Amino acid sequence: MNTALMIEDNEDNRVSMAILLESGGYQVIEAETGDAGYQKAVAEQPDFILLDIQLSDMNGIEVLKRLRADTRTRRIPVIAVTSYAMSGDRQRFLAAGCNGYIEKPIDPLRVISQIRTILEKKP
Amino acid sequence: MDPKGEILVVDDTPESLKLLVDLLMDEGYRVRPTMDPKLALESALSNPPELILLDVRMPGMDGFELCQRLKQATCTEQVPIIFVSALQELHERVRGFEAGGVDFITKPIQREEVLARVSAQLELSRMRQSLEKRSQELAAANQKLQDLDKLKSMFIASVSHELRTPLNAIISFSGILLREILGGLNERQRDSLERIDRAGKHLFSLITDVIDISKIEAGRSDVYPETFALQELVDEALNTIHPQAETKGLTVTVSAVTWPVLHTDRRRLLQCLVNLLGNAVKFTEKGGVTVLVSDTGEAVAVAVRDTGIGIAEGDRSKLFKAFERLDSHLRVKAGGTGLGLYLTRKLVTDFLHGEISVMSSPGEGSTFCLTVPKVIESTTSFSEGDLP
Repeated sequence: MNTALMIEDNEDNRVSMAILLESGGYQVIEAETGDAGYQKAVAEQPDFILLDIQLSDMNGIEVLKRLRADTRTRRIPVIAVTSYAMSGDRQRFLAAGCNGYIEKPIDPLRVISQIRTILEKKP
Repeated sequence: MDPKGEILVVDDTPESLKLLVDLLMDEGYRVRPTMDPKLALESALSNPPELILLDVRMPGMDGFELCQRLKQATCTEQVPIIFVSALQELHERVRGFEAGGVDFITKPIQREEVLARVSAQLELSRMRQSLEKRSQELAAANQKLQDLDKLKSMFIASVSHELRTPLNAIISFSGILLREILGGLNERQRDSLERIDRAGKHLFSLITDVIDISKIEAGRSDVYPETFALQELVDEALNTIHPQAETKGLTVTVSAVTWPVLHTDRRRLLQCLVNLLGNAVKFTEKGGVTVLVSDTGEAVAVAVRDTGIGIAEGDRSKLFKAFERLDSHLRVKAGGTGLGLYLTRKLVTDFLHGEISVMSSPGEGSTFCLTVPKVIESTTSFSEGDLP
């Protein structure tokens, strides 16, 4: 569980999340769009994926569905990154097969342990 | 509208017809005389008059029947009809009113009576029409205002949503620096960063309140029920006040006989409890905060009791209004938006289908009590993608 693929279109969010993930001992691969994220997931086979739910090219749900439909990426754990107070989105993500979610704004003190808890739940 | 109005006069007797027509024309009314009830019906339907004077006894179709037919047609249903008749019997008059007539003139006619009744009915009819027009205009204006209000709320919700993205960056990076991931901080750097961090989080919670309120006011109070243990939720809410309660030396206690499992909007309920607990700690200097849970079968009541400053009776009605802060010295101290309790009440009523009440004695403390159904249904889905 060392390599994280982060699919996120906002540069600030990518930089801050990468700093936190690296501080937690993860190697980080970044993708700016849903399509690039999917391609990198297939090619790089990361240990888990952090998926922003609001991407510029496609909805996070669509990316998740593509990942889940492909045998090469089906088993990679996906953690959704959602906005606070959008309960409906979280439920749709969990229903579509993501392993858990973390909320924006991410809490730098807790985010690594949040990720570990989610990843431990489903080995 | 014609100042004197056009009157359709229907009478099969030439003498009585002439009498009425002359009388009305002398007075300046425009008159359409007809002796045949069927022709009268056609005439009225093709060009509705302002008033109809109608004889009762006529061959072919009597006045009552003609009246009923006119009342059934959309174009003439509002035209007032006065019966002109020698009939004195009460039941005949009742039949006339039942058929839709508004008044009776007895034959032989009296000039003054005819003119008085005609002008009274014309005036009534015009007043009714203008009232109707006015109420339609008001309804349209009201609808327009409601539409604009919704638009405003959606606008605020989407603008506020955009505000959160840069704010996320401020909060994340100040947090990263505070964790000293990128290097150590001296005392003054830490203090400065903590101020940025606190202000960012405060701004974030204000924006979240505004988004929630705008969505509710735009009629988008969608509910996402989840099944969860109330005890865990209460613990989670209490975690948010523990640091502050500790700093102020306040006790925090929980009292429950049983802990129910709920199926309701978990986040909204949590938000309400966090707001109430936050207020309780904010306005209490000595003593403590107690959470009391009671299961009433269908519903559960969660009360937050404090031993704080309390709320004067006259202020209690203001509590749940937007932007109300009771006293200026509290405002400085409280530092909130003035939206907290307004939002809490909205959340309780609109999302959780429950109610909120307050009891208080100034100087002794306050108790806010939420009562919500244990199980609620979900509503249609709403996602960020739906924002304009």
